[in-house]
Amino acid sequence: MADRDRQAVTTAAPPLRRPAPAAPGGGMASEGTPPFVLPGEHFAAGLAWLALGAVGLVAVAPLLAAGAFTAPPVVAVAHCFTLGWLTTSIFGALYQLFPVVLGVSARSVRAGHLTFILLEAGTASLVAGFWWFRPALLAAGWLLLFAAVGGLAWNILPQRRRAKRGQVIGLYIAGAHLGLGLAMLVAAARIGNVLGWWTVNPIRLLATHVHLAALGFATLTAIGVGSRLVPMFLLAHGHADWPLRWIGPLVGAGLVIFGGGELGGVPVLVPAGAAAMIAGMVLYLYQAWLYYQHRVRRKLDPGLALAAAAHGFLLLTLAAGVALALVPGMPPRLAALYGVLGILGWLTLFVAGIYQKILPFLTWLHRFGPRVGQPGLPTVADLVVPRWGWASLGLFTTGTLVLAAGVGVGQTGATRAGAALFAAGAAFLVAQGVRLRTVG
Amino acid sequence: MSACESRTTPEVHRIEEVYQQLRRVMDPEIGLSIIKLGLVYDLALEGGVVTVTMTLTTPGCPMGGPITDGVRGVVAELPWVEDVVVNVVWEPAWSPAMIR
Repeated sequence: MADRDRQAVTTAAPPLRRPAPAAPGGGMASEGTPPFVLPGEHFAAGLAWLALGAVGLVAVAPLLAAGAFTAPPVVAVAHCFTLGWLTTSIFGALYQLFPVVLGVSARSVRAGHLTFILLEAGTASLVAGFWWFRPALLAAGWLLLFAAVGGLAWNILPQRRRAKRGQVIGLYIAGAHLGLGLAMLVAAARIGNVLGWWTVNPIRLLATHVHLAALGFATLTAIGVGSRLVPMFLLAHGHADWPLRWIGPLVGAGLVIFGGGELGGVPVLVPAGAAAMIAGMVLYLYQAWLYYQHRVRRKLDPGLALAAAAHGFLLLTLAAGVALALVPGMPPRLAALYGVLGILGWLTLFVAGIYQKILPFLTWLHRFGPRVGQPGLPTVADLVVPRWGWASLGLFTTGTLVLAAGVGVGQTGATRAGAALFAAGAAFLVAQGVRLRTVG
Repeated sequence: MSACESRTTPEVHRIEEVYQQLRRVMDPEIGLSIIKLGLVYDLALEGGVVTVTMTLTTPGCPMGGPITDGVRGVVAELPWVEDVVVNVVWEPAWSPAMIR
């Protein structure tokens, strides 16, 4: 018992004779998690952006098949996914998970709602600005997004210093936000280009922006937050986590060297930075393999299977990235394929898999957490329709593969068919989310 | 359970009552009671104070709060209970081999 006691967390209640009424959200609420509406509004908006992006994907399929990855409608759809779907989801998840993982809560729930409004307005402005190509909307969108990101950083990042646990995850989140901030500065330089304020090589800016945003922000956040969520959902015990200490530094150093090479016009630095980023991501794949290898829960559900498939797409993304680095002249379709695999195959499918786990989980906590011990409570699995989850998994993965193949060979019909399958997968995920609102 | 050894009959009876109450607390992720899962490591009585030493299926489990609240709630329903203390420990780590 001595060893146990040293690691024990004692949760004592005041003397009581009858069950004490629990706060909504059960013990989660007492640990400083925000009201359910704050992450909930983020997740609802994230799903709406996923649906919009999926529809847009079908519309821009011919452009993708032609490798026109810089065409404004393609960039608009890409931002539906990166800002609307991924960033909104990440912000919502951070408000919910920061207190659970680090033991500290956001400074202000009201500021959280405000940053949500700024993020959605900024994303809408930016997407509309790209779709109809209105530079003024792009500039307005950037300013709103800058305020949203600054607001979130003010709201949660300083709290990390008071954290008594989860320091590594906190470092990933802080580093990821540095990546997002730098990605926004590079985006501002690109918008200045469009407005004619200055002239910078747009492809070099784009390469730096995409890697800072997708790898530096979204992927590092997924790795950091995922290092808690994925083992938790897999019931993984006893796996090594030393790769986590190296992935962030490798990716971070790679981004700095790569970006410095691209923006500073020092070509020799670009492959060196790319090599560091690839090394970091290979190490992450090993870490993810350890999670799945050490899982207690042998049978995967649709959410965890989708997250596993996303890691397969990450491997394909790395292969496409290596090819892009080795083939001279950056072939447009290869660059488009790299983006499709990274943003849709890896990031979108990983977050969609986590959604399939976390949405019913949080819904259960909110609706039934205070009633633990009472008869007749459903399980978390009872809240979802498993067939919809499996359908989503099949359609997402098949759609992404067909879409990627279509882009790779430049075949419009296959690209559009893949986009349509992907959109159907998104529809099942959205339907699952809508259904959860009616549970209980 | 070692907690039941070398105890007087009324204590054994009360320990059994606590176990019966705890069988109502389900892990909502897995769908089994925390007793069936083997999450409860030890029970101790000191007068009307019940100390439950237990673990969770994984560290940082967000269900930890509701489950420990549920443990306190169902044990406190027993008329002789004055206070409930829940110790959450991580050693030994839970594994499926602990499912009864």
